[in-house]
Amino acid sequence: MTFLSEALGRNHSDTKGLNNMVVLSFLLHALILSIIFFSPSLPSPRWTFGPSYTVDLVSLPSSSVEIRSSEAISREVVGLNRRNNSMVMKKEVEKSLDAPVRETEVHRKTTSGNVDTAIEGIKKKVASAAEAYHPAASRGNSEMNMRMKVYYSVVWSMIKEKWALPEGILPDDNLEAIIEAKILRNGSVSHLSFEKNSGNRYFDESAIKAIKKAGPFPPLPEWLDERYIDLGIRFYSSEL
Amino acid sequence: MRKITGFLIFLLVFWCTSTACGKVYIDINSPAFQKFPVAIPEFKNLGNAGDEDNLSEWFADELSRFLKITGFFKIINKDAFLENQDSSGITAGEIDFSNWSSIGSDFLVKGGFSYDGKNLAVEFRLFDAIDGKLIAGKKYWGKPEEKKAMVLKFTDEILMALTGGAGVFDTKIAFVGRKDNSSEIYMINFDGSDPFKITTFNSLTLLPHWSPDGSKISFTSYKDGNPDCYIINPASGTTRKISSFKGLNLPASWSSDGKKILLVLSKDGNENIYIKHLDSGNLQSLTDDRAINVSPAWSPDGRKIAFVSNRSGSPQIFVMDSEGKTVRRLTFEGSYNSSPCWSPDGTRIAYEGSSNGYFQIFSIGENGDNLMQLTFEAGGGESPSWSPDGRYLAFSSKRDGQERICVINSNGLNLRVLPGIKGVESFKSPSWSRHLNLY
Amino acid sequence: MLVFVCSFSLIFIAGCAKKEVVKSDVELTQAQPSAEETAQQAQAKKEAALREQALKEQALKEKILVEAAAFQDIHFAFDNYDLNPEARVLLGELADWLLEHGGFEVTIEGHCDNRGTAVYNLALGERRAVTAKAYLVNLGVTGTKVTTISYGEELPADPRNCEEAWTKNRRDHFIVFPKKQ
Repeated sequence: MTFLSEALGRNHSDTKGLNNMVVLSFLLHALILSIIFFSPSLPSPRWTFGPSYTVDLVSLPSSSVEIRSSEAISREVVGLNRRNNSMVMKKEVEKSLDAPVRETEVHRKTTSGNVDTAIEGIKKKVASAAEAYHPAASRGNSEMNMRMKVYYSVVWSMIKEKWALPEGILPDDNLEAIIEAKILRNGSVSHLSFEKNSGNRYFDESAIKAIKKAGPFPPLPEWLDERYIDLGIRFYSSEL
Repeated sequence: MRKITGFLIFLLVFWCTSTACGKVYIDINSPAFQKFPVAIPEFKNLGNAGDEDNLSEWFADELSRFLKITGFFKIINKDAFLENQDSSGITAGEIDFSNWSSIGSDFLVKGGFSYDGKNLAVEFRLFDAIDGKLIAGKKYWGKPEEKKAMVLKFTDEILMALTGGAGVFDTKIAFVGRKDNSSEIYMINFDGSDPFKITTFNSLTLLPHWSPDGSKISFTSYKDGNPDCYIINPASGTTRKISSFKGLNLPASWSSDGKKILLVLSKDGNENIYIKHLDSGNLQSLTDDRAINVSPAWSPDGRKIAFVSNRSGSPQIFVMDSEGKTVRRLTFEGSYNSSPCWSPDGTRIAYEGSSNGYFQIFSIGENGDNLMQLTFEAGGGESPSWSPDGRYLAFSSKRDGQERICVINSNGLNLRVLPGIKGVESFKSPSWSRHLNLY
Repeated sequence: MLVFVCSFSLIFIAGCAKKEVVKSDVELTQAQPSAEETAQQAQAKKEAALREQALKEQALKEKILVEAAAFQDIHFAFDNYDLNPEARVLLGELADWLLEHGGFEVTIEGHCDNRGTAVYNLALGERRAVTAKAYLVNLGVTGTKVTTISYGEELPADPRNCEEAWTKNRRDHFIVFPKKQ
C-alpha cells in the first residue's frame, strides 16, 4: 500500500517537572529521615497508645464482624508512621479497618489469599461506611489517627475500584509504582507525581489514571486542622 | 545563615504538618483486569461530496471491529453516547471530554474523511478522555480501495500507544484444510478474512511451517506416493522437493536466518531429528536412538531445540542444545505432551498436553517453571503456534464436532474461532507467519 | 438397371451366407466330416481349451486375489507398536502365503487413532508398519517384497470419536498385489 500519512499535532507530556519533583521529594525525605534518626530528643508523636485501649467504630456497623473472622488481618502490623513500629495496636486490629494500610512487610506470603478476600469484603463495607461516616464518635485526640484511617480506607477503595488494565499487557515481573497525591480540604486532588516509577510505562499510566478517575475524594474530616494531606499510594502488580 | 533558618523553618512547617498526619502510604495491589474502554463515534464527512458509501459509519465500525479482535479493548455502545455528533468536532478544542469520561470511556477516537479528487483523505485521532489530551493522530491519503489498510494502520498506532506493541493484522496463519481423503494448505488473516488456497495436489498435504522471512512454507505431501518434504513459495506457487528418503520426511521449524530447517526422518529405521542445510543440502544428525523423536522446535536464538520423545515411556517434551547434546526433560505433568512451540521472546514454550481425555493447550517457562493451562473447554486444543509478538496463540480445536482454527490471547483469554471456508471440512495444524507488511 | 442388379446380388449373397451357416450346422450333425472340417474342429477345440484354461487361470487368480485381500488388519494398543498374539498368527499366515506365491508383494500401511498429534502419529504408524515388516522378514520373506508407509491418523477406518472406532483405527493394513512386470 503506497499511501501517504502524516502525524497530527501531538502533546508531549511534561516529564521534566515531574522528575524535578521526584528528586526534591526524595531529598526532603532523606533529610527528614536522617534528622529523625539522629535526634531522638524530638517530641514523641501524638499517637502512641497505652496498652488497654478499645476502638469502637460505631459508625461502621457490620464490618467489624466481617473482619474478626479473618485471622490474617490481625497479624498485620498497623502503623501510620514509619518511625514508630512498636505500636501496641495489635490487639485492636481485629476490629479496625487497617487492611490496606501497611508499613512493614509482615506475614504477606502465607496470608495473601485470606487478606485478599478480606480486603474485598472490607472494600465493599467501607464504600458504604464512607457515607455513614461522621465525626461524632470522638474519644479524644488519640482517636484522630484511627479516624484518618477510615478516610484512607475510603480513598483506597475508590482508587482500587478504578484501577484496571487489560490482561496480557504487563510483563510477568513484579512491578511497583509509588505516586504522591495531595488531597485538599474539599477532597480534590491538587498534585500528582511519581515518587517511584515501575519502569513500565503502561503500568505507571494505569496507576495515575486510576487516581484521576477515582477523584475527587470525600472532603477531609472537619476535625482535621490541616489544609491538605499528603498521601503516598503504592501500586503493586501482583498480590503480596 | 538566612538560608539555614529558612530551611529549618521549612522543616518545622513540614514537621508540623507531618506530625498531624505524617506521610501516609496506602498499598494497592493486583489491578482488576478490564479492557481499555474506548468510544468510536461515526466519522465526519469533512468534504463537500455526498457519502454514498456510508463511510462515516464504515470507518467507525471497521476500527471498532479490529480493536475488539485484539482482545484489549471494550467498545462502548453507541447508545450510551451523550455527545451531540453534529455540534462537536474532531479536534481536542472542539470536544467536551466530560461527555465521554462520564459514560465510562477512558479513550475516544474521532475521525473525518474527504474526497480529494479521486483520492480519499482520512484523519484519525486518539484522545485520552480523562486527561482531555490527544495521544496519537494520523492523516492518510490514498485510493478509496485502500481504506481498510488505513484503518489497520491506525489500529496499529492505537495499539502501540496504549499497549507498547503494534498488532498482528499484517500476519497470515497457514493451516491444513481437509475434505474427504485429501488435504491442502491454506492461509488466512488474523481477523479471519481473505482465505486463500495455496496447494492443489489432491493428496494428503500436512504440517505447514512458515519460513522466518515469510516468503516460503515447508510441508509434507503424499502426492508422489511417499510422505516427502517440500518447500513452496505461496506467492508464485513454485514448489521444490527437499527431502524424499524412504519412510517419513517431516519438516519442522526453520532457523532464524532461514538457511536451515529441522527435519524428522525415519530412513535409518528410527524417527530421528536432523538439520538440513538448504544451500548445501547437507544433513546433520541430532538424535540417534531407538525412541521416537519428533516435532523439533528451534528457540528464537537458535541455541536450543525442544522436541518430543517417548524415550522415558510416554511422549514428553525435552530440550537439547543445537548440537543435540545436553538433553533435559521439560514436561513432567501429564501422560502425553507434544507439539512444542517456542514463544518469540524465548521465555516460554506452548504445547498440547493430555488432560481428562482431551488435549489442551499449556504454556510453560522454558526452565520448566510456571506451568499454565490455557484452554479448558471440551473441544480441547492441539498444535499451538505463537503470533510474532508473543501475545496470541493459534491452535486447532474441535468445536461442535468439527475441527477449527482458534486464536487465544497468550494468557488464555479471548478465545476466537476463525470462520470456516467453503469446501473444507476440518482445519488443523496452524502456523503463524511473521509480520508481512501487508498494508 | 445396374442398381437393380447390385442390390439383387447383395440379397443373393446374404442369403447364400445364411445358407452356408445353416449348411455347416447341418453338416456337423450329419456324419462324414471333410478334412477341412476336421481342422476347423481341432482349431475350435483348441480355442475352447485355451478359453477354458484362461478361465481357470482367471478363476485361480481371482481366488488368489481374494485370498490376498483376505488378510485382515492387525491391531495395536494405544501408543504402542508391539505385535500381539493374533497379529503374530496373521503375519505368520501372510509370510507363508507370500513364500508360496512368489509373484506377489505386500505394502504395509501403518495407521493410528486420531488422539495425539499428527506428527507423533505419523511416527507411530511408521513404527507399526516397520515392526510388522521385520516380523515377516524374520520369517523368510524377502525384504524387497515388503514396502511400508505410514499414514498416521490421516486415513482412519472409522471416522467416529469413540473407543470402538479408535480401536479399529490403530492398525496395520496389508495390500497384497501381484508384482508389476
